[in-house]
Amino acid sequence: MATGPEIFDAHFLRELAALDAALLRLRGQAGEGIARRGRGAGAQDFRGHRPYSPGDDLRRLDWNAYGRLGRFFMREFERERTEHVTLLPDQSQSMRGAKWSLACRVAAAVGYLALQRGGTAAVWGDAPVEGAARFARLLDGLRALAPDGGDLGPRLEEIASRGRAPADLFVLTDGLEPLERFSPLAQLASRGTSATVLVMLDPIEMNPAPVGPVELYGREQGRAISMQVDEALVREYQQELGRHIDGLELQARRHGWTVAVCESSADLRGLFLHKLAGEVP
Amino acid sequence: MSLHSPAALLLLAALAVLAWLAWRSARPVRLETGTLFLWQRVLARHAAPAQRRRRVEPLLWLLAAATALAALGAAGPAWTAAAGAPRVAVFIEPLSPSDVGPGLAEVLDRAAQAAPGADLHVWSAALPEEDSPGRWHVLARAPLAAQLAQFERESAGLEARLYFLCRPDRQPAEVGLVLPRVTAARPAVIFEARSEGESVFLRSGGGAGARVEGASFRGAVTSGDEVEREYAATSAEVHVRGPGQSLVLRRDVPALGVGPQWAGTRHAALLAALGGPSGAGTPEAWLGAEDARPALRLQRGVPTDLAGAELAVDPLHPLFRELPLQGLELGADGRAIAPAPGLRPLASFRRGAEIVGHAVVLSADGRALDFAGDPFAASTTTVAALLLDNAIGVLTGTRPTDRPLYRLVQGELPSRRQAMAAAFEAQGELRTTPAPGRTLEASPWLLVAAALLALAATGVAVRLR
Repeated sequence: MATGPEIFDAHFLRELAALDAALLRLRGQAGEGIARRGRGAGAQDFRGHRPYSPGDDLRRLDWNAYGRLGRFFMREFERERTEHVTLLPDQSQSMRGAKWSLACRVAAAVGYLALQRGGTAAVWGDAPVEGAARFARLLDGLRALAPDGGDLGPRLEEIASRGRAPADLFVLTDGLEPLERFSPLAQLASRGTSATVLVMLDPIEMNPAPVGPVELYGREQGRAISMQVDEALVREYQQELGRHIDGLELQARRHGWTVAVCESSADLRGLFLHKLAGEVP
Repeated sequence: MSLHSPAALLLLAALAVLAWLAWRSARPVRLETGTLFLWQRVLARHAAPAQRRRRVEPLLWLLAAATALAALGAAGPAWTAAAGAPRVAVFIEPLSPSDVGPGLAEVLDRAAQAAPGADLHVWSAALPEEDSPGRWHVLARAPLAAQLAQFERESAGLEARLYFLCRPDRQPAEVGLVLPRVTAARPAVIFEARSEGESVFLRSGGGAGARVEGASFRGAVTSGDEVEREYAATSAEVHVRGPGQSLVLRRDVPALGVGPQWAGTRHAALLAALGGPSGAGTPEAWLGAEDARPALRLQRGVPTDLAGAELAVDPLHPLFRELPLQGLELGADGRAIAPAPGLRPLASFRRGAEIVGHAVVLSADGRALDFAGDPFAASTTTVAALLLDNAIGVLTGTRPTDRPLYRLVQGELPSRRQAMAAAFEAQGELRTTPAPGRTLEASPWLLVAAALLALAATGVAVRLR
């Protein structure tokens, strides 16, 4: 198991509490109001209907619609988008190291915020956790994961193939997959899933230095190539990386999901208050 | 090579540190990444695979070179050239115009004895024999004084001079020794051969005369150390053979061509008096020929009334040199050449101030001497012979009677000085001090080079930063 106690240590838990407060303050300054996101009023923000999927909460079935149309529709509220989050950390081997730590922490933080707001949070594949008091179960679920080679693409396909699409899907990945592997997100978005993809890259992947002779080891490929990294090569690499990220962002814009890019060394507070402020519960 | 401070070579140990740094900088750093596939795309686009290129570290090379040079410079290397053999310039006066010999080997032996162990540099106006020792410098063929001036100019950088001269008439230079070119009395060497008519005169130093063939001995005149022997030629070729000499004198009669106008009895007699129409090859002049050149032509005038006319000649012209005019008949044929531009009149008929016609004219190019009549038939025999002698002289440049009858055609004559070479006491002194050894200090240059390399390394470092 790659995750250890050091990822979710006491300092991190205190940071989560401070982050929750900071987000509430931020939204208050922005005019959103606590009530909209809060447990009491948020539930009344009706957003629309969606087809019934097996497993849906029968309490939210719209019986009136069933009476008129003869089909089951689920009533959706604005609050639902933020309160029922599914966390999907990319477990491919390229996520090892700082990226995996950040992915786990971001996932924990998003789950924590959802639970704080009365919602549910689930690590994909696990049962949803409800109630802030059960936050530890969410952390246990994250601890059980490891970047041991599970590719992201097949998991996204599996999520998209399920009958019930998650309301809020947080994908924590380095995005170093062929772009077509992200196409299931388009299907999910069409089914109403609010998908957020946080792309995290190591500093050496974002801004490699022209360090001369290098033996570059690919974590996923499991092999190395020797090369002379000079300034010209670095420039070409950065252009190639830029094209890859651009492709990812183009897909996100086209299909209505969100993508944010950060370094694996990014500060959690800054990440949530700036890049993810609009996407987290 | 010697080192003033060998301990400074310990600085070379810094090269090991630099080598370690170079090895370390060249060792690839292992980095883990998730973007290997992006790097592979970039490399695939590169024309030259980047992984095969090795980066040269100019900074390290410059520093290594600067360190090495500084260490060597600090050690103070110096080279001391061994004292060289003294270089002695040797002047050898030739004994014949075109070669140094005879006795060259003996002269070189004497030079080596006079300057033992010296490096001999030989100057001479004549070419050396093959395998001659020493370094040879060929002087220009010139009078002895000029040769000596050239020798002393060109040998100025050498330590000493050695002169081998035929006569002891040269004061030795400041550093030098004058030795006789020959060490023993030489047999009579002929240095002059001339002929007067049928007589051949051979002048030489004293001693036995040479063996002469084709001429009979007539007598000898001794004057000081010279002897002039007279021989009467009895053959067209006279062979003279003496010690180291072989001369051939050949009868040298001008080659004359004869034309149709030169057909009279008098003409034949005059021609016979000059030796006949002999001589091989192209005639030097033609007698009585119209079209050939150069030519003496007769009957070139037209019948003219010469009554009362007087003959006027150019007395300074070679045609009339030493020619008695009393017996000369230039107008006996009653012919005169009409004046014409381009002709130079040498003798004219005048009536008062009027020129009636010319008796003798020379063409503008000087190659045709035209007579109005035939003075060779009309004049007295003696005058006709003298006139013919002068006329041929005008056409060929030399009167037949002025040229020697026998001419040296084989062999060379030495100068009188060379022929009269004699032994004499050595003069002067030869100081053969060895050339001093020189010490070459390399430290300053090495340190300057090290400083320049360090400067270049600094520039590279600043640029890299």
